Amino acid sequence: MITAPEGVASAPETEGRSLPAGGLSEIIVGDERLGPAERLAIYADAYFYRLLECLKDDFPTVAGMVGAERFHELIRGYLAACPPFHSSVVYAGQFLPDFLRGHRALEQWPFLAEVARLEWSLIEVFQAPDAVTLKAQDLRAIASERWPELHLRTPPALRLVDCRWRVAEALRAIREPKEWQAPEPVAQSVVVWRLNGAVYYREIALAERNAFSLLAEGASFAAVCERVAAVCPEGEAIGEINRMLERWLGDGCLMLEDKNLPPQTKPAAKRPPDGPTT
Amino acid sequence: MKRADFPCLGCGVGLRTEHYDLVLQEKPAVDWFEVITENFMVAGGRPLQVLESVRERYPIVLHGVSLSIGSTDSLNREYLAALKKLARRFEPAWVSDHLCWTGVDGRNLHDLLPLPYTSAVIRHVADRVRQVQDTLERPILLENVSTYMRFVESRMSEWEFLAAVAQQADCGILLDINNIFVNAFNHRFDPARYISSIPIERVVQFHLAGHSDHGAYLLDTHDHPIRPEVWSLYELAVRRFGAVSTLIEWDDNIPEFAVLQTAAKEARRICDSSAANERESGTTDSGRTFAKTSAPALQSDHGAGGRCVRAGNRGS
Repeated sequence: MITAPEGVASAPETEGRSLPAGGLSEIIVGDERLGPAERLAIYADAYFYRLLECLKDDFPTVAGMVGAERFHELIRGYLAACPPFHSSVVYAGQFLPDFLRGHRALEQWPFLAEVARLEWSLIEVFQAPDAVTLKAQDLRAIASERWPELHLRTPPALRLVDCRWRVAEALRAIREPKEWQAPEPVAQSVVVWRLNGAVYYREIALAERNAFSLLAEGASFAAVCERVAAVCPEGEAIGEINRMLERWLGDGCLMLEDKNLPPQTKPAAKRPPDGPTT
Repeated sequence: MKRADFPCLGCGVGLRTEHYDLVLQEKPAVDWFEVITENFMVAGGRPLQVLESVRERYPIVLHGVSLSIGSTDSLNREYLAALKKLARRFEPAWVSDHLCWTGVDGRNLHDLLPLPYTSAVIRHVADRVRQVQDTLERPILLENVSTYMRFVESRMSEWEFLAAVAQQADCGILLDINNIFVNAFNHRFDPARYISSIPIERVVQFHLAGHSDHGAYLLDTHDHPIRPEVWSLYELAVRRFGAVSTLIEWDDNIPEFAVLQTAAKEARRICDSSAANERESGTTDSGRTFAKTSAPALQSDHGAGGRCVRAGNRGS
């Protein structure tokens, strides 16, 4: 029954529930100040508006794009379709990106589901498990001959988000806040990561996107280099890998999987393209 | 459960994200912090880092909102496991939640919903509280919630219900003074009668908060200063229960931290004043006072800003 405001009086009928002959007054005590339905409505309103505010906080770009009135309606539909099940209200918006796919709001804002997905990624990364990330000095302490076999992966607090629209710029604009432009229908990949508790995101090019895609599953450094080199202009791969590696190490975007660390005595299969420039 | 087993923490405030930086950098003088349990039931990230740092310097209490102790759903064992893990990690002075239900059929309404006040519900809740306490291996406190409706099915007053649940479950009570005031208005009862009917030995903590006046009803919004009428009720409670660990709650329109500190100091002043009066007149019910201290505890155990001093043995 408690799904949205303004609907308590008709909710039993809508929900197909049968009330006693005397209606709600046989269940809830009323008085001359507030009848049973009005008292129940206090809870219905509180339920909806609490979650509306929470979702507005979690999806400020979605809310900013559609405006307060449409966001209210959108969340009303969302909560009816996807009521919260988790004990923490943090997860209330977990299914909003999926809910928006195929929603009629896409006719006016076709990029809305992707915006929601990127915003939800920020929340996922914010509360993802902690991990010991690889630092530049850690890597320097390993002989460069051994780097190709180093098994690397991205930490739990990192997401790669592939979009069909250039949504990151609009996200940045609305969150600043400043005037935003409708995203163009151009593919864009965004990496979201956490450093010292703060969440960051940035647009990335294809080479870096491919590297993160591989690193998400865990991969050898050599494999990552090959993946990057495959899409780099000839002669630019080494410099590109150096730049990426430096940034990843500084941003805490890499983990070293110790179990795959080759023993000191094992000769390196091949030399890596280059050492880091850090 | 014995009240003496719980430390008297003094007067604390709720830890909110708006004040994280200030608390970490300035280490303000406050006796203790209460945190919303579910906000820290996360895998990692800044919330847990902040809580680690806060806990190094201050006593904390875990205050949950999703135990759903009155629901007819099975107890959420996953939730309890997470709560137990959190409690072991941060060693709170105690763990509390609300005497209510928050969902059914797996759904969580993220609200504190009222229960019918019947013997069957008392048995149901008490049984679940005992299971929770067994699982957590520690007693818990249950808080009286603000309510806007009562069930026709109820057969007793709210205070009789609260006292009976605490007694049968052998748990403590977190007495929210503002909620008593709000409910007294919404359901037309005498708040003083409520205060005088709660067993002294069960009350381990007070909550103080602000509410909104909607004309026909009061709404427990935690977004206003504590009203003078609620301070008066608090004075009455302190006279009956003694110096009970008191927490200033503020969840929306959150003010400068100094505003919360001022409210905590006022609570302490009332406790100290009450203690002085009872020493003069010998009219105490509880015999509990706060020790004179205002500095934050720089220790990792539960010893707090105000250690419990039992000045008498007249608990009921």
